[in-house]
Amino acid sequence: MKLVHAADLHLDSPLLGLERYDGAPVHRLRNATREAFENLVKLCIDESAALLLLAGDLYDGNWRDYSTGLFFAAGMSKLRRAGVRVVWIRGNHDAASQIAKNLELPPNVRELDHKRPDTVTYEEIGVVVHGQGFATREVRENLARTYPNPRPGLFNIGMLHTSVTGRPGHDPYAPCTTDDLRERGYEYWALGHVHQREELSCDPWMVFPGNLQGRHARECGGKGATVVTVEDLRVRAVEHRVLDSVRWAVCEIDVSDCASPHEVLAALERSLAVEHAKADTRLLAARVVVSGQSGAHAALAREPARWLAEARLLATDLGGDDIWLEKMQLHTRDTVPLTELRARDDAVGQVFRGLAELRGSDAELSSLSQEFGELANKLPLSMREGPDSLRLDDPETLRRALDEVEQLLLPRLVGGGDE
Amino acid sequence: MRLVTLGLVRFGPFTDAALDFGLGPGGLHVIHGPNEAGKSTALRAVLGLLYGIHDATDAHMHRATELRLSGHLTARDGRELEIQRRKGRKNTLLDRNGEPMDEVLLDRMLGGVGRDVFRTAFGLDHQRLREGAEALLADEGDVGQSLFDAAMGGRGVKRVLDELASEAEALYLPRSNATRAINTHLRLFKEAARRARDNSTSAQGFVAQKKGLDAAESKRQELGERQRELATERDKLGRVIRAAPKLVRRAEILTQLSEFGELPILDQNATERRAAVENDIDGAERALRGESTDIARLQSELDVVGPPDPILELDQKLVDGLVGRLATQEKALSDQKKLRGELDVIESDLRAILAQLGRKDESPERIPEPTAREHTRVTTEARTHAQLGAAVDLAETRLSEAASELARVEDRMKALPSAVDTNELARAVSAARRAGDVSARLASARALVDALRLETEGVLCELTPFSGDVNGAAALRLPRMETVEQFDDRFRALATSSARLDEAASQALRAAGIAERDIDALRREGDVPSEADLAGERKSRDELWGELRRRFRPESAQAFERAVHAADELADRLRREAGRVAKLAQLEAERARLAHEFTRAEAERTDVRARREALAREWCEAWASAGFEPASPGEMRGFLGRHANLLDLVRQLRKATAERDELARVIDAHVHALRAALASISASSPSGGMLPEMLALAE
Repeated sequence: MKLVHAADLHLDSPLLGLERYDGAPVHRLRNATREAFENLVKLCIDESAALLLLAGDLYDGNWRDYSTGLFFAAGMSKLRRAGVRVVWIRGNHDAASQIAKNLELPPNVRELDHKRPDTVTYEEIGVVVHGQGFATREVRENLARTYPNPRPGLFNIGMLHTSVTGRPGHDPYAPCTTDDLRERGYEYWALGHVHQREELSCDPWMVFPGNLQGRHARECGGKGATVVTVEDLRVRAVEHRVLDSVRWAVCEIDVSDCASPHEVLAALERSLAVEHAKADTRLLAARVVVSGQSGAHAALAREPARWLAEARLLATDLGGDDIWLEKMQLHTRDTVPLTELRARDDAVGQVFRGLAELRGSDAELSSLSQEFGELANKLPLSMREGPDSLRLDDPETLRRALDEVEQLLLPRLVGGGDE
Repeated sequence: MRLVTLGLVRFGPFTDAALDFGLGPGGLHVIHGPNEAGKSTALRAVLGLLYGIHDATDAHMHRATELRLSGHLTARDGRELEIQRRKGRKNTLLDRNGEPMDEVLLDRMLGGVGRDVFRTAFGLDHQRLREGAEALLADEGDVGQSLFDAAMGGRGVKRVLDELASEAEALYLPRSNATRAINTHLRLFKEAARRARDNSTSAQGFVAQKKGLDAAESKRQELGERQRELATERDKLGRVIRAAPKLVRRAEILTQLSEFGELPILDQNATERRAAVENDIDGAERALRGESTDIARLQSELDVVGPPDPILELDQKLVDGLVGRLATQEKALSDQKKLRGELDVIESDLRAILAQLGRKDESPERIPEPTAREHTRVTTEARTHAQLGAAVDLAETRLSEAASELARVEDRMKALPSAVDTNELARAVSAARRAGDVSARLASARALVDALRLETEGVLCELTPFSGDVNGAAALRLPRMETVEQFDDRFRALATSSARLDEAASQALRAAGIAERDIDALRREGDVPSEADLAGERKSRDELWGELRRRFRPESAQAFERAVHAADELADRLRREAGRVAKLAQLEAERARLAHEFTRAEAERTDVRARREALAREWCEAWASAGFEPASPGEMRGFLGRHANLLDLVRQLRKATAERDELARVIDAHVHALRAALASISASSPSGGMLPEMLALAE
């Protein structure tokens, strides 16, 4: 018997940070989470899975388009026709989702209660599933402790949307320890919430399958679901299946050895080619981080827009529609060391000393941040909140900006001349 | 220009003070003093003397209008100038006598150096330095710029600032239209967010709409039902409306009817019957009227005629019969005349006939009428008589012809010799004739035999590789066509796989060549480090480290350092040249794979060759009984075809030969018989004469 375990579908969640440009494959990105979900449905059917476990966050909390729910329901109907049972619990996003509250799903789909621990038994396949969904967006209690005892003679599965003991980048919801889970005496724990795939334990199995589709540059690598093979009430195999339709990658390029932007592009091409090959036939969404103390810095800093366009051209040339160059972060430094500049006994030295002083003084930074007050207010809320937000009043943000300012000014004030 | 003396006449804290710089031989003068001694005031005084006193900073002891400075200047070329300066709006430069003086004279002395440049170049203090920097940032004055320009090695700070400002403006302006990048994107974002909001379906909205749809649907059904009911009602009413006038009429009629009281009930076609009866009555009345008129007319006629004639009282039928008989009588009278004429002619004819018959005296009237039978017999006899006359004429003609022929034959008979018995000869001739044109058949049989022989020889010539005569060829024991086909298929299959393998091997060789060339190219670009190289370097480094740990020696320390460097460098190169390394590895793997593929193809080719040889041996064995080496199955298939053709020809040849021999024998027999028959009637026959000649002779 095979079970498929997935979580964090985040259907129709927008893929973040992607700038639209000519030749960028917009449609493929837009449909990424849906395609990944269709791949999941196909996997269940192809594997003749008896049961699909969805451990929360099917939807994105603040995404309100009901057609997302209808799309999900259509997938569930397909599984019903194929005889696949589905059990799901609400995650923190679903708790806030209007879609989850209102959607009617076909009879093969069973949602476990979100007010108390719930159990669903499938005698015909010898499986019992215990779990509790999120009633509200923020659940700070240890839910696992109140889960019921295992039922003897059946394969017991626990479903939980949790950050366990805490995971970076994830809110600490439904905290618990692996010992808490182990104590329940279940054979398999189908967890959700953490987007990076992780096998916490193999006795009993505790698995975060990771999210179904990476949504930004911090969710790189092959995303998908976990196929669990069960024989004689024991787990025989746990396999990760890649189902994503868009692959995120960060190409970090050290350009210390590059004397010109063209060499940087050559290095970028090599790096992109590797990631493109890894992505197989999927769309590759690549973030490029260029770093290092380089002779190419001055030219890159002087015309960043040009070199971004060149890089995108290169990506289009290399992969056609298969590569989306998300952004190119230039973290290069000039070959002239800043310490040397700051020691100069002239006006330029004073500028760089001034910038260093500004960076070191929270009071100065605070007054600098007021310069951006108006711009900050104009930014949309989605840019001002969340993990990728732009906090113009945050001293760290300003310090990073000042680093960039130094590197921007450097070639203009003392660089090796104009090209 | 040198300042020889500076007179602080009334300036700052000073009154009639002077600084004399002309005492020494020139060189550097240092003015020092404690704080608030007036050093900066003195510096300001220099500026004030040369360029005017612009502010009231130094008017604390003296009133601003009284401020006064003096100075003695010498130029490099020896010109000298003594001047005074007062604070004011115009004519502040005075000569030593206190008279106003043209600033141009002083300008010439200063060589065009302006106030700011002077202050920057010769009058810098801490305050001014700060002001300079601020001026730069405020984009004012050329002092700050010149300072920064100097520090930047000649690049224009103004240009840099302008560039930065325009770049910043291109990115964002707080209250901008949409042409700035950030403003544009903010606007686009807002629009996109609004569109997303507008285009998305809210859950509540969907549920509400679904409910609304369900409600509307049931409402629609209700209304549909109601509509159908109303339609039925409407139809009913429509019928009523259409029927209403008739109903009114019916009521009227019923009223009228009621006025008649009790009435008999007529049957269904009473109306028709009534109409018919009325019609009959009309007709009868019309007839009655007509009859009445006739009666009246006749009555009037009758009145004219008077009382009736007795003849008129005769029976009408009797009168009609008399009229008919009268007409018949008239016709008979006219016919009688004509018939009498005809009777006269017949009587004269009869008299003539009677005369012919010798019964002239008999009156025609007394000749009895012949019976029908007699009439028939006479007619028949007359016809027979005519026929017999013609036959007699014909027979007589023939008789005369036969008599003349007889005479002629008798004449010829008399001329002929006495007769011999030719019966036997006649039989022989007849027999020979019955046999038909055997000579011609013999000739065509011979021609056929020759033709077949020629053809057989032709086919035999083509029957390579067999060499022998026709009989030998006919006696050959050969493999069957199916066997040859089988061999042919197997040979072909082997040839196909051989060709495929050759192609595979050559492709592998070609690809290997390309891979080899790429590897060479890669190596020519510079030696490509490998993991093995790195491992080697690290090994030697570790050995050295081990040695170093065992016993420290400076030279091994150096060697270790070198080894560490070498390993690091190699590791770096591996990292840097990861692309090339990976490519080399990939190419080498490709080369190995191709070599393996080539070897496999070679082995298969060898196998195919062996199988081909075995098959060739088997092929030869199949032809062993034929006694010669077979060519390829394809050719041998042709051979078998030709051989079959040959056998067929041989059969035809044998049949034709037998037929020819039989014909020759029959001709001989006939010639012999004819000769014998001729001999029996003592007729000589040419010895060796052919059948036609003999036959002609015999006949």
